[in-house]
Amino acid sequence: MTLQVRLVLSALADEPDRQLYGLEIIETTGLLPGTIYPILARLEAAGWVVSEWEVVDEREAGRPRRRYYRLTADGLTVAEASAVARGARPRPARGRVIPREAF
Amino acid sequence: MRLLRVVLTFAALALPAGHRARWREESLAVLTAVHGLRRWWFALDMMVKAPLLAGALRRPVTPPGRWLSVLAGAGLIATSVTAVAALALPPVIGEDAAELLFLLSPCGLLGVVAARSVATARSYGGGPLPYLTAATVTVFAGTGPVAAGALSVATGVTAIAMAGAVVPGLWLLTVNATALARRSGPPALALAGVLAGAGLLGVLVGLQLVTHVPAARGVASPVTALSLALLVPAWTVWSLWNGMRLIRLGHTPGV
Repeated sequence: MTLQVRLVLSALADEPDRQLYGLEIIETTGLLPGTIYPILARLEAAGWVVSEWEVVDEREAGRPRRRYYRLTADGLTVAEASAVARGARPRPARGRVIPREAF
Repeated sequence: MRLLRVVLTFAALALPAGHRARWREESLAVLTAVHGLRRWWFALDMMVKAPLLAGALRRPVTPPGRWLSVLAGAGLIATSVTAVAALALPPVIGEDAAELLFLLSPCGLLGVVAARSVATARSYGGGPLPYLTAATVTVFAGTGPVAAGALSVATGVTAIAMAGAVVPGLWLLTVNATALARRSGPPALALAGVLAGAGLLGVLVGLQLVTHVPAARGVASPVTALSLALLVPAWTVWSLWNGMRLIRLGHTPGV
């Protein structure tokens, strides 16, 4: 499992009951959007993540609806196993566009 | 935001048809929530990496049926037999017949190119654009210089023959370089394909230059000769080996 995938899993596993949309995952992981969407697509295809559209009136909200992601039970198990295997969850790189670990 | 919508619409073309609208909407939701330079940086990143997402979204495609694999394999074996015959038999069949055989020999690629192109189009979710692209690639890469040459003669546009001469070699080179990079089959087979692709590219482009660009003859002639020396052994090995794999196993790297 790559560092980026672990970061995304870790971001979603931090608060398993909370759903995150793209920008929240970007800001939690420090990864760029072009990186997280392929990861989310693979995780979704593997059944580790599910997503759904936000129910919102776009005119009232003044923005497009967001797609929210959360871990499935399988995904949570994998995220926890990955964190245990690594000793700890990878540290999210808040505020950094590219995580320090990527170098 | 209107400009971003347009840009995202074009970038979404890289994705399978069924996923474009969702990606556009999700991307727009993220871009709307950020401002200034960051918005454009994110937009650029999403566009540049759209092919990565396309790769993640592509559906696995079932391999072609057994009889199609056998036909494609037989076609490949026929190409090497025809090419060798064209080079070895001019004293028997005459120069003109040998030249015609040589030009027709890459047509044996047709089955393999068609199978791969259609499979790629299906993995992108099908639809008119992927299938049209698959058909175009099949016609121009699968028939060697024949389709482009015929079209060039019919329209009187030499550039079509020149452009068409690049396609078969480039296709062979790309498919096998990808197989080599992904280690999706025997490396020696992929390497033979890369060399055959480079040789085919050199021979077909060289022949076009010799025929249509008199000023380039000085360079084109030795390039053609060297490419031919590379093409004959590499093509023979690649097409025979691949043809036998297709007949025996039903699949081969890149196909």
